Amino acid sequence: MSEEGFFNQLERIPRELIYAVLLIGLCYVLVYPVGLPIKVSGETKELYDSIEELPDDSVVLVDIAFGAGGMPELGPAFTAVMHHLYQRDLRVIVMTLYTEGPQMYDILVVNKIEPESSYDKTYGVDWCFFGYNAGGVTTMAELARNMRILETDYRDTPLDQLQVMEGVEDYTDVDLVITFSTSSGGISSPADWVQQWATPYEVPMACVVLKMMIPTVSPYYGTGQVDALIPGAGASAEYELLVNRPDEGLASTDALSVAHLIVIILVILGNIAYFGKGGGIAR
Amino acid sequence: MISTDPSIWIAAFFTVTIMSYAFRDNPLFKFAERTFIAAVIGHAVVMGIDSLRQFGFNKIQAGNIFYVIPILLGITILARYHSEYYWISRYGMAALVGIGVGLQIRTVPEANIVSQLTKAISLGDNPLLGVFTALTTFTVIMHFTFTTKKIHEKPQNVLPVVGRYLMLIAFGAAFGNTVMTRMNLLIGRLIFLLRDLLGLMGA
Repeated sequence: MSEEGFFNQLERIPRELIYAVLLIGLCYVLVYPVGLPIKVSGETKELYDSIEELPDDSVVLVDIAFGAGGMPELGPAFTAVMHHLYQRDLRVIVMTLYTEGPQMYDILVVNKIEPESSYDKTYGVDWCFFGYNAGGVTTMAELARNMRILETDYRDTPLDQLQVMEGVEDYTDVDLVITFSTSSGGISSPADWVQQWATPYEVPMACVVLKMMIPTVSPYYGTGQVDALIPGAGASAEYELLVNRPDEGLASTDALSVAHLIVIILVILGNIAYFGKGGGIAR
Repeated sequence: MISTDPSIWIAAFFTVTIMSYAFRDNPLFKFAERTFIAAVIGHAVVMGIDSLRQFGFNKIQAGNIFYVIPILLGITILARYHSEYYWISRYGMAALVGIGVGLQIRTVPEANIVSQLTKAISLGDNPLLGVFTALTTFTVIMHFTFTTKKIHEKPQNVLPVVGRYLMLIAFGAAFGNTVMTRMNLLIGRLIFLLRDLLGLMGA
């Protein structure tokens, strides 16, 4: 085989082969975990501390801005952070502007975390869920000025009858907003929260987003408009460690490392093929 | 232990058929794809109608007659499917755009321009990072400055070139993050198949 033929072949590795190697590699480490050490990053600790430093009875507004598609990455992070909120004596108000939000709430809070049995918490006293509300950024902006526009929670119970909502009228009564978002520019994106809550009213804000959204949200973090910013991938494992609730985040850590290793090897092979064929020189 | 829950098997079937597209397009994938789209649209319609009930019809029944206005504006948007009366939809759209712009114009300049610019020209807590941020902002702006060609000619083209390389570093970081997100989605489904379906992973 000529040298150019070798590089041509290297450039055209069948995608089926790549997927097969990836699947085998990932399945192997998921079934037989290597147990790579995990170091809690400063960003994850920042979010943990921002919740830990809240005085008892503080109000935390949690926004579910992801659906089934984002659940593999944000689900573990959401679960870990919610565990932390329930471990503390805080008032937790959960809301969503996503049509799939109520399903995520049912799957992750009601069925998985089970606050009543796990933490002896009572719905309506320690936390509540507004359910799905249409309107996107309009609703978000109006909620900052008047939370009572919603009138009822997702069980059609008037908000006035919920103990957790006592004295919670507008943004001034909210001590921290945490958004779990897969939305870069659509409904309930971190940018919307920054524009409608964090910047005009200086409400402390934390964002848990997809790893690929970090470059788009980090400018707000750099300026301090967002107080804590973590990605779902990787950071969920760190947060599970912090709250002592090992789950999917930790289970996927080894697999993520293997996936990255395979991608790095493929990038190197692609570059060898490209430069081997004189691609760099020709340009 | 392999799951005997039918819902797990249905979810596993759709997971595998959707993932099969990575190898080849096939009829099972098309079936799963259309089922998924139908389910999502059906769900969104139900949630939309429920929202109309809660925030529209219930309020009107309670005597808040002004809620008729947004409902009527919403109905006008449907007129765009009519060849003759499509123009009526512009009223609904105008209200949507007007409210959206009104909301954004109030906060976007402060959130996206003033705060970012202030940070870009200040040294902050870390002077080295501050200088680097300012340098990056300046060189990238130089790269996209086309008012005069001289900026892009030697020897002063060093600034736009530096800006280009700094952008490439940012794109590389974005690519790495995107790969990690996509892999996480795949790993999430694999955990479901291996743990919930096949019982091969510990709880």
